[in-house]
Amino acid sequence: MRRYLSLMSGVTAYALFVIPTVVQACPSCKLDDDPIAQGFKWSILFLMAMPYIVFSLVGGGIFFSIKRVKQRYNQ
Amino acid sequence: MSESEHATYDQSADVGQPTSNARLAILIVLGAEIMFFAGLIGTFLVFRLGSVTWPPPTQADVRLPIGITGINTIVLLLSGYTMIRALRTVRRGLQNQLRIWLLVTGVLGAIFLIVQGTEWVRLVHHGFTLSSGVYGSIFYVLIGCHALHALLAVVWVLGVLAKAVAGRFSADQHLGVEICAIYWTFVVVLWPILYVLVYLV
Repeated sequence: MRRYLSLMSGVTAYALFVIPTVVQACPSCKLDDDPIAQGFKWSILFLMAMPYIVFSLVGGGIFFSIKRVKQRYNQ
Repeated sequence: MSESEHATYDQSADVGQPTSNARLAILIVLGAEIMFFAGLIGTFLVFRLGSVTWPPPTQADVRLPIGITGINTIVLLLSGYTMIRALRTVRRGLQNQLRIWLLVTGVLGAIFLIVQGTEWVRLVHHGFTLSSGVYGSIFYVLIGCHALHALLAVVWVLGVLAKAVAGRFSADQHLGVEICAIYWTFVVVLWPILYVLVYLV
């Protein structure tokens, strides 16, 4: 078991620190100075952030709603 | 409880639910609506940032009505304020003031839609239509979707006003006003973002 963990740690460390090269994750963003690539980049970042913002807003709405009802009960 | 009172009855207050089903439902609907508009704005960003010149050279002569739409934006923001006043008055049980504030909100929303519609007719007469390339498509789809939501919100406010006239809301039971106010706020808050993106940037 210990040998297996050491082997896996070694493989992971090798994969993380030796193999990586600079890559473009977005297939549409190969040319940084291309306006279309810039458009896609900002659009992707915007859409990536939106679910977090939506969950925060809806979650916040529910949280404050619960808080208000609790306050009403305490009064 | 009579059948008519069910429409405005906040169940959560009685059974100890943390929040009412209606309130939860409108939050989920708004979450979906935000993602819908986020998709449209994402599309706009691709075209806007992907173009060296904006409007594109083929529609360079198109001039969007920035000034009148700016005034229209203020009208819609004002309607957001009047809707908040309506909500505050119903919480205090002031029936007459609730009706007045709801009426003012509906009228301001209708003014917004009429001005938008007039400007659209003018743009179409100038040859700027949905099929006028990317610029026309993104403009009419983005602004049109908001206008449809605003239309729904105005109809909703008028429905709530009809119930308010019938005396169906009180200081304790006003869920209908609250849900409508949440939706109205969404429509109002979304518009300045679209205005800045589509008209000014």
